[in-house]
Amino acid sequence: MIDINLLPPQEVLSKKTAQLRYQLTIGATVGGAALAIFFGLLFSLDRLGQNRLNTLLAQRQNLGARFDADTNKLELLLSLKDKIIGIKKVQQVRPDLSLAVSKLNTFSVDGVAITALNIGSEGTLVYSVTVRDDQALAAYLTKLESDMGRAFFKNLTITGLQLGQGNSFSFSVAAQFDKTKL
Amino acid sequence: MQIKPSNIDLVKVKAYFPFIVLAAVLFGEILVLAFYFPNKIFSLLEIRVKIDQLSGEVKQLENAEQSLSQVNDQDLNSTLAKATVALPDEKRVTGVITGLVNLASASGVIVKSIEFSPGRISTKVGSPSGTPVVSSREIEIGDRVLAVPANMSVNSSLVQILSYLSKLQTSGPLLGVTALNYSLSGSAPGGTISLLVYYLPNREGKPGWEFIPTISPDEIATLGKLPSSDIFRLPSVPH
Repeated sequence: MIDINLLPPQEVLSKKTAQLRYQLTIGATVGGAALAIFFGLLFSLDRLGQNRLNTLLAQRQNLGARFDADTNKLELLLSLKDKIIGIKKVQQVRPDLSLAVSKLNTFSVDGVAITALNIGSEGTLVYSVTVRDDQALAAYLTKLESDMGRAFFKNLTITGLQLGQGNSFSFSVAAQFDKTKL
Repeated sequence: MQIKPSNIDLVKVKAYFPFIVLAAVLFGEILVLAFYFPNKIFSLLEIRVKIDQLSGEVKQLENAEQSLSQVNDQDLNSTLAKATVALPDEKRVTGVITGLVNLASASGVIVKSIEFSPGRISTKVGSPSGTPVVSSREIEIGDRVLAVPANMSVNSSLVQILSYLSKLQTSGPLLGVTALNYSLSGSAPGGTISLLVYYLPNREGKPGWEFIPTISPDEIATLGKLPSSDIFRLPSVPH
């Protein structure tokens, strides 16, 4: 169907103008209303956020003040924790020569005396021995050669065997011991 | 009637006035959308971040306070006192010297001299020359633990020295005997004992509440295994 506008041109223009004004009015009103709602929402959120922030700040300040009163206790607790960790560490790494020396003592036989001893935590052992007679010497060497002796001494060397006064002997023993097997 | 040009302009202005107002309103709304709202939303997001951050801090503080309130003061002080004997806060040389000498006497060992940080401080036992101060020549052990090396010159039989070594190893403070040189020759039997005296310097600065340590039953058991000693002077608990 063909539209034939029979209205005079001025009236057509006036109708278009009214339509445009109507659209603009609707747009501005809807936009304004939406902006108002959005603005109200943001304002409410802002107020709520600020209130929550202030509450939390007060709470934190209060807790912080109470916590400051307990700082000494915390220092002691931290110190204790550090010490426990440190004690465990020292217990892991500290050398224990008393065990090595006690082990060395188990090889002692009657008539044998250690006259000099150098022992280090890195596992070195050098000592001088005097023995009363050949029987004591045999007994001592047998002990050193035993399974227990072989388990303790590594690279054992006996040097400087000398005949002393009477039937006595003296010699030096150099060896290494496995400190992990003490 | 003759229409004047000025009257024509007024009519036009009147006709366009609503359009101008509406366009201005729309333009204003767009301006608000473009400038005010983004700033406001950004500010709200900032508040949100601050709230999250503060909430976390408050929760941590509450937990920290609760954890601390569960710690018994008396238990803490007594346990710490024992731990401090084992691992002092400072290089308490005077206390260690006294302890070493007393322990030696109990084993029948005569201490001739004690030298801390060899080459730096030498203390002749029996002729004290003021309070010794150890210079920095300590060894780092790990976990912030430091050790001061010391040499002791002793006179005694080997059996007594061995007994002394055992006592040193099980004494209150943690000591590590690193070497023993003994000789029967000379005017009197004796030798030197090299040892390490361990200590743990205190942390510097005020502690924060971000980390509240807990002591496990295993750790309490570790402390329970430590020997108690009344020979070594008990260092005071820091307050």
